[in-house]
Amino acid sequence: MQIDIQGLNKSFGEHHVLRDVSLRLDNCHSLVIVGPSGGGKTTLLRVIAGLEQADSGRLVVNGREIAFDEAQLREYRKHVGMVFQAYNLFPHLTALENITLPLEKVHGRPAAEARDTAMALLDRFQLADHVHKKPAQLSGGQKQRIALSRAIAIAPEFLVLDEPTSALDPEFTAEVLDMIEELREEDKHLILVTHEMGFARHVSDYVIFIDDGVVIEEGPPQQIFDNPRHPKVRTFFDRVLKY
Amino acid sequence: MKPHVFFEPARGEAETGLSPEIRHGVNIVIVAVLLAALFWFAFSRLNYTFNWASVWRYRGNLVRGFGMTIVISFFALLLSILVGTFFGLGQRSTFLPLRYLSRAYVEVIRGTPLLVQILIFFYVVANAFGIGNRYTVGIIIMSMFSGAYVSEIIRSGVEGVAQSQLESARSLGFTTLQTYRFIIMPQVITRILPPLTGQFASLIKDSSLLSIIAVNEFTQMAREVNANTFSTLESYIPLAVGYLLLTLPISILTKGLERKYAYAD
Repeated sequence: MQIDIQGLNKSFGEHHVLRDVSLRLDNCHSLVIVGPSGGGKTTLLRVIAGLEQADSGRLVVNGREIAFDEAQLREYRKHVGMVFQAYNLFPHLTALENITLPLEKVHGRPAAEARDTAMALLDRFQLADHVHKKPAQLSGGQKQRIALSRAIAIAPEFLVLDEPTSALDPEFTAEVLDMIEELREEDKHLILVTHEMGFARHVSDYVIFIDDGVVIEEGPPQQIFDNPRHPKVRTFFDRVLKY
Repeated sequence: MKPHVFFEPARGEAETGLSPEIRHGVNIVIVAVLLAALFWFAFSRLNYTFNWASVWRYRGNLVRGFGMTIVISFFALLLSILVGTFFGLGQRSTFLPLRYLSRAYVEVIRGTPLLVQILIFFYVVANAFGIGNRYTVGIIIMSMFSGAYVSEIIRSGVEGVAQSQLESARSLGFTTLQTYRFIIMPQVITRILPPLTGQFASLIKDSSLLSIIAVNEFTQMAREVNANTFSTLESYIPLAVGYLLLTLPISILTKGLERKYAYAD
């Protein structure tokens, strides 16, 4: 995927969350955004996912300029597969319906086709036994894998994952990370915010480190994780990787 | 140690060996006997001779009034759901005039006695708009009154749908209308069913106040029977029983619905 961000600014009231962020990626398969909490990484991710309008700046994705206007952003979001921290499945729908509803209502697919797409995905990710269960009957790991299936069902241009494992019990983290890795290997493009540094390093081909609304370091994972130049990045990893 | 018969084991306490059915049955009987004794005592001190025969002659009127109360409450409930949905969603509108109109409506209705609303509506508003039929007026008043409570039920039902789901719907490209239709409303309906049935029970009781504008509902009919027979208790006891016959099943239904929809998100 190709991402071109220029001079992006975003404030929430007095709080200046993104300050003049610029980023240019030409042939990136997997971008990981890391940094301390409250540094702006989730906001940047949400702007890229079309969920948040920037106050100023440009966003060009795969050669298309994304206008910060709700109607156009909605159109854009149809082609972005978003997965949130807390799975965000619809509790009144079964696993299957959670996947078919957007396919039918947003993408206008016929019911039978939507069902086939959903069943194929659920089958593939060992969720076939849970097709007719509601989210309340599923484990966190299963819910998050269904959320991932829902995100890829629409054949998005890329997946945007906002800390997809941080709301999970540790026992379920691996199954979700395995699934993300599997998607990565079949060349689905990813943009990922995570606190799982080992996984970030393993799965990324480009890493940006954001603190205080500014990209303070960027580059391939080996460089960022092994030889960070910026002292803040070094201290951050020292702290995070201590235990 | 607590007497086993009267107490349910508290959380974490061991079962007493007494079956729950027996424990509950015994206590229900005890309470029933106590209440009966209390009423028997009160009535025996009254020195009142019951004259059911005179009231029995007016039974047709009471039954008609009972039916009228059901009809008025039913149509008022239907209308109040429409009114309540409009103002309930209106309170969340980004169009500010509508939002403040909705708030004003809810606060004024909930903050004033129904009796006053009935009188003002009947003598001022209905008069101004030329609505002559007392039953129509009665239904409109009751639905405006109940609508304010229903709108709060609906508003809280909508707000109970987690923000994260709205976010999810947005990220999937649902329009606002689709989000309401496919995500919010199906959940709101199951959530508000229990409080809505409870509201229906209130509506049935509150409609008794329509008797002051001479709508021939249940209470008004009982008052008329009383005026004709001077048998006050014989007129009003059937009234109490009649209202209970309507509200008790609703109350049981409400409890059942609450249990049915008490699923965790």
